[in-house]
Amino acid sequence: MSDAYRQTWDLSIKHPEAFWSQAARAIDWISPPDTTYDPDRGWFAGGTLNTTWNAVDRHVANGRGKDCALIYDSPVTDSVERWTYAGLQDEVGRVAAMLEVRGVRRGDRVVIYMPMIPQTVFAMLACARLGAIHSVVFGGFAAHELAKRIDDATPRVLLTASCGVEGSRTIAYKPLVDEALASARHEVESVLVLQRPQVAAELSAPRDHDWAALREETAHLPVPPCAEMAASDPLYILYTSGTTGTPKGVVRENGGHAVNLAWSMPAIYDIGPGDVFWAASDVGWVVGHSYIVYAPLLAGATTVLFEGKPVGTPDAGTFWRVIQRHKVKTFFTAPTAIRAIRKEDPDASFLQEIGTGNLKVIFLAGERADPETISWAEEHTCLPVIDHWWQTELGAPAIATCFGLGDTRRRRGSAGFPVPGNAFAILGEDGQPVPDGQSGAVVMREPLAPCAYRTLWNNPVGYAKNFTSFPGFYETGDAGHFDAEGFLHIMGRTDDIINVAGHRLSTGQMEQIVATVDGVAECAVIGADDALKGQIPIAFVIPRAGASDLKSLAPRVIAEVRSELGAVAALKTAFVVPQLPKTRSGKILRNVLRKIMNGEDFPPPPTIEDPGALHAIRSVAFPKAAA
Amino acid sequence: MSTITAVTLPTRSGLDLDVRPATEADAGILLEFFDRVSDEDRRFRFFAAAEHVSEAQLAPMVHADHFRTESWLGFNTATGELIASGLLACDGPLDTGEIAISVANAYKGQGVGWAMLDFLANQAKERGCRRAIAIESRDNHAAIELEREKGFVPEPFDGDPTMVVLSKSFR
Repeated sequence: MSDAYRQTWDLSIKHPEAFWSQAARAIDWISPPDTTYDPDRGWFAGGTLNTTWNAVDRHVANGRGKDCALIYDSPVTDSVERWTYAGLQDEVGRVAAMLEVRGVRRGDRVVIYMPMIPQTVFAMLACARLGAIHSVVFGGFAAHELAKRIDDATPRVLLTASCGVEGSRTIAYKPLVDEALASARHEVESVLVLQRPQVAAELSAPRDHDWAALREETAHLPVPPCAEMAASDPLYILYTSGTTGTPKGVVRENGGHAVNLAWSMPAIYDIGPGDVFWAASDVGWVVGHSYIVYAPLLAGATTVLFEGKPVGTPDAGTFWRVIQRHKVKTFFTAPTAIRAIRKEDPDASFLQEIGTGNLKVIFLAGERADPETISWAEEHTCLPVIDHWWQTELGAPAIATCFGLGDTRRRRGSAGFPVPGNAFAILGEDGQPVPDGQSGAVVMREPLAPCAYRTLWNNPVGYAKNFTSFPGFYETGDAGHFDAEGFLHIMGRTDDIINVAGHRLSTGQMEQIVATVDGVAECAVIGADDALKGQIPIAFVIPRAGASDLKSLAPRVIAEVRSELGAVAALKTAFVVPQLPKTRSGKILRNVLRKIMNGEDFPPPPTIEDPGALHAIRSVAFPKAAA
Repeated sequence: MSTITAVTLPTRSGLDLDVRPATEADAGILLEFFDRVSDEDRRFRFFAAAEHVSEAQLAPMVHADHFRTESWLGFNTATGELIASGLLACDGPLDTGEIAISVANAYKGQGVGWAMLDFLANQAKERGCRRAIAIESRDNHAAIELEREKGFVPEPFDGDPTMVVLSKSFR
């Protein structure tokens, strides 16, 4: 047992205000907080700060301007670029000036729909500098999804690039942006387009502006100062999947975010000033927000921005090359990435050849890391591989082995221990704690740690729902259990959210789309186990009586989901079936569908209306097995 | 077993509910009713997320055998508006009756679901069922809380972490 972990956790739970007040000293405040926690005002009320000052400017002011802040490594464009803290400060300042000229002011929203390039990082930090609220939308989402977010966030400006580069493919972003803006009800004032050499985007004046031209036009302007932001002022909105098609806009606040992330870097990831940290994610997700952009910079470390894939760019050695080349000390990725590498290179030949350089530890998150994946990674890297758990709503890890506190305890299949500042309980259907070993709803005692959300954008009612089922607790939406040694195991969702390659997706949203396809009478979309991606969505469709062209129904369903949601949806399989398994009242028995697709036994539940439905579905999904 | 053709149920809010069995002729008003049920409640009712109820989903509600299965419509006595739908579906031996209720969004929180639940549970009991059950998404906290208050006991359902079955025994 790590004494440091136990003492730290105990202090954080018994004396949370003292604990976080101490942690807050790692942040530069313009005005210090007058209280650490207030139930109405939140964390660090009365305190004012600027997140970009803390992430960038203060390091320059403290004499570390020449130290490396950001490394951009892009095997897909064959480029590696580095920015010092001083260089990053300049770039962020330029983008801030550009945004200010386009009318962006404190509190304005700025939607960022950009690939993994340095300008995306500059843009996020520039918004934070001005006190504007950025909302980064993952590039894998289709125009319709971008339009929804535009309508909810009502940005003044949208930032984009001419294209993303995925392996040998380029994906033009501007047509998607144009389509989204055409269908959105909200009118954006300006669109700033960074032209990449691979694709030239068409600009429509007066709305669209060339990024490079605007940068040049504003180069003479002074850098806007860092805005003085209240601790509770929003830093960003990040949309995450809800159980139906309406995305939830998680609002992150400046103060709690800065303090919590700054604390997490040394305590969890063992990262301090000058260390190199690499989170192989996308800035469109919370891991990218927290651990590509903000946390490493708040800690004065060097962060790696990687534009590529674990395999195919160019091969399964990519990750190890990046780690070796940049002397990465701590690496954070998703289990699906390790599985992809293992599939391409099961004997870890690339790893043997390239090595792991300065790497001390690998963290995994985004989905439960299956024991086999951890085992393979530990065996071949000879490093601790630590699964951990958190959510977009929380903004920072809530369950982990705090490697930075000297704790190395791990149990394959478990996410570790509650991180200091986070108190968990496992509750049964009656709202009472269940014994160790028994599964129940995973809940967290209020108040949540400082980085956690305190509202959803435009949806305080939706936010409050997560706190009503079990008074005094936040309902995570996951099921799990504590074991006898205190390891917390997260076993799966208690709703219909699935995790595909570390990406959180809503099967309900996919169903809404499938139900609109011509010829569909009824449908269900479930998440089935997948060896590579963890889970994949699978659609079951009952055709409308008299519908023609049944052969095209499944492909049309798949195409429609991709068109509406984007490639991120990853719906590649749809079955046309005669019936769905239902209870006598007509409720679809989704778990039975999962069992069929996962190859498990599927004894008919006693409540099923027609047990024959199960074999009818299995014979469609697995015709050879049924024969 | 008693058969009820129509009954008026009081609710705690003072609203009265005229309840009668549904027939095939009610398909149209039921389709329209479910458009007035919230997206979330529709999802909880069918465990499917489509924006509109399909005719296939409606079938059990308009083709009840009036024996093992009965489907009721609840109308606001004052306005005649259809504001609730309830289905009781019993298994072959009439051992277990599954209850499923939906309330129009504008009438939630007025005791309509409470009154329908009491009514349907009683119908199950009068049919000689040993117990009544409601199969709920774990997300459906309102229904789970209501059913627990009415004496339904929650248990895990079929190893599915996303669902719970609440059961009330009569004997």
